[in-house]
Amino acid sequence: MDPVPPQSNDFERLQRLLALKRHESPPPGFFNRFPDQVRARITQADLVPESWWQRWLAAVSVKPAWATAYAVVASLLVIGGVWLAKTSPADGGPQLANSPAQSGATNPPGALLASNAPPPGLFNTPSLPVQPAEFKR
Amino acid sequence: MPAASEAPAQPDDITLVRQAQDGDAAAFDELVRRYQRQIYGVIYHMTSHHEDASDLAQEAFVKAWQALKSFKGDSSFFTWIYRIAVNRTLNHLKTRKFRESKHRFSINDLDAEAENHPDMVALVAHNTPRRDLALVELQERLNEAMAQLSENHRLVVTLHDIQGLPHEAIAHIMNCNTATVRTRLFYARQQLQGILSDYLK
Repeated sequence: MDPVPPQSNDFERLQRLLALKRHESPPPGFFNRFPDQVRARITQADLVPESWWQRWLAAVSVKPAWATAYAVVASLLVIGGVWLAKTSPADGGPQLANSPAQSGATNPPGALLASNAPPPGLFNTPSLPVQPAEFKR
Repeated sequence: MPAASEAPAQPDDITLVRQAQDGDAAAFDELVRRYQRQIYGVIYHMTSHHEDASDLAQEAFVKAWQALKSFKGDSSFFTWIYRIAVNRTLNHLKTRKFRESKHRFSINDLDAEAENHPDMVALVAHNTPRRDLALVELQERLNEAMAQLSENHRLVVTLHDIQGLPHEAIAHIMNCNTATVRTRLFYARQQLQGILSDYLK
């Protein structure tokens, strides 16, 4: 049922008061220039069509449900990525050796070498005695 | 015999729309000229911001031009362009918080007719020495009161009480039934009555 329209003087005054807003007008000449401004924007839009991401942003801003869906999917991807990164080394996949020394001593067969360093003993250089630095007074 | 000075009949909206759909830019310009005041008006009264209203009104007409091929004539062009403008304005208001306008119209922006309007004169006549100030204050109070309404309530007040559209047209524009329009109008007026009580005594 429709609400009963109020007939009080206050409501009539309110309507007359609001009707005064009809007299608010933009700066002089605004409506003379307006069609040309619209035409210029149409020409510009024809010359430079919106890119896919601008259309995407517009769609997101128009439909909050889409924005929420995108946010949920992005969050799930991040969480999934973090979870995979934490769980994958313990799954028994190929393991990386950190150094050649480790690879020779403890790596199980099939372990991959993750360094370009030569195998131990190939390019042995004589070790030089290290002298501590001295400060002359 | 028709008088020689009689102006040629203006083509109706649907004729102009068909011409514009065929690529006649001049026909579309005529539609812009025909509805620019109403479209600017509804956006301005929703945002209370001249620059935003100008920008959004231009956007609405650009979108209308781009979507003109899809206009089948199920509703009038007037209703269709109003819907585009109203939807863009509501999106604008949702994405950007309603800000206090730094570019409020000064008394110079009220047209001369308004200053001599009997209601306006009656409202501020007793403040004759400070009449201009009273007019500006009234204008600001009206805009502030409008800003306190929800977007849907502000829209029905704008379309009905300011722009004078009938309930049925507003229902088409807002995509709801006339009972909803009447209900929103009722509660919006109640709220405005409370906010503007000083001016209504």
